[in-house]
Amino acid sequence: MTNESDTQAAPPEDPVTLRALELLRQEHPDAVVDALTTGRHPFIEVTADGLHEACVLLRDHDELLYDCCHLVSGVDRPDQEQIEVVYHLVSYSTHPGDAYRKRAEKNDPYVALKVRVPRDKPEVPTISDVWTGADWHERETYDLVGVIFTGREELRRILLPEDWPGHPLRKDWEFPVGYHGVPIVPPEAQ
Amino acid sequence: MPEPSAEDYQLDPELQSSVVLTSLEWLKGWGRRNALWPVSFGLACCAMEMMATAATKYDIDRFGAGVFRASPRQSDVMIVAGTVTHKMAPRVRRLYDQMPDPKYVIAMGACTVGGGPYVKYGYHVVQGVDLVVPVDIYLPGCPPRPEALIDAVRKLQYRISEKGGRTLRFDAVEKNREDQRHKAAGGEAAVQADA
Repeated sequence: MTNESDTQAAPPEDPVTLRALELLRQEHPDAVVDALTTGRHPFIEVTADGLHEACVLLRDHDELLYDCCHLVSGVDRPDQEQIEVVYHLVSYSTHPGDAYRKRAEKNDPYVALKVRVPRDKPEVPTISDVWTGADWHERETYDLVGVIFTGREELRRILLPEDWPGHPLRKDWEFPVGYHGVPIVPPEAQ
Repeated sequence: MPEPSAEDYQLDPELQSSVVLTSLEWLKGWGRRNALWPVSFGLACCAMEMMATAATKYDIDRFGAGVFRASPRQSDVMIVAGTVTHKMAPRVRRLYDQMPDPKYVIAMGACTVGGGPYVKYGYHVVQGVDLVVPVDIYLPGCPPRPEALIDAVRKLQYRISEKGGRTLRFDAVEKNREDQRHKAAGGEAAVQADA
């Protein structure tokens, strides 16, 4: 216990992400861009074009069976002129009952996918046909970050009013001076 | 305001035992303050405290304010309990407009008083419900205890009895509201110019 911090200098590898990455590289070698398989938040970065086939593989492969799309979120990175879309997938089939185990435990059934798209043209193919539950997540990501998901039926706001100006979680979004007659004092003025 | 007594009108002492004199304003205030019917209307976590206040332990019905009506047409007071978002604000206003006069508003909780924790970076939250409807009683807290809501109701009742049903809303707050509307009209024009 005393010297544990010394022995943990190198963060442990995540076997689940490693296996998913291995299978992805084997089946769709062009799709994978980057990966981080160590630490508390491992991820696999894929291209926007390869996202759909990667998701289908992760869902349908007998070893992986990622049957649930937990979360779709967007990260605005104006310094890199990019927007990042993150997909958190979970497999209830391969780990029945264990889906909520702590990340620190091995073999937990989570994997994270990332897609980076240019900020001035943030178009990502939809995965709502792979997991129906991703539908509302995509609408929320469009609503707040402004990512355009292509190939799906309708892409309209889900949380904010339909005539809301802009996408408020963009870093360069500016507060309107008022909305429908209700004045707004922006944070700079407070 | 104390109930006007027979002495105030210099009534014949013989009549004092058989005649009750009061002002019509006082009588109206008495009726209004003792039957405050709130709208069944909760927006966020403050509504939980409002429900607790209405339930057995705190029992707001002791003060005649426990008949939560499901229609604004039958209500006297709107307890705005919870965060008012910009999307919700027109609905709050519509409910207020549908209530018959005399009507009163209690702004319950930090969010409705002035935006609460969302006031600075919460793009979606109205920075005080008094920008949408005129407010009679401000009740801070996050959320306020049921005792605090009872106190707010009592203070509202005191104000009603003071002015025979009229509250500060009809003078100072009305003016404030007109100012806000004036400002907002300019603000709206600026929004359109931005777009």
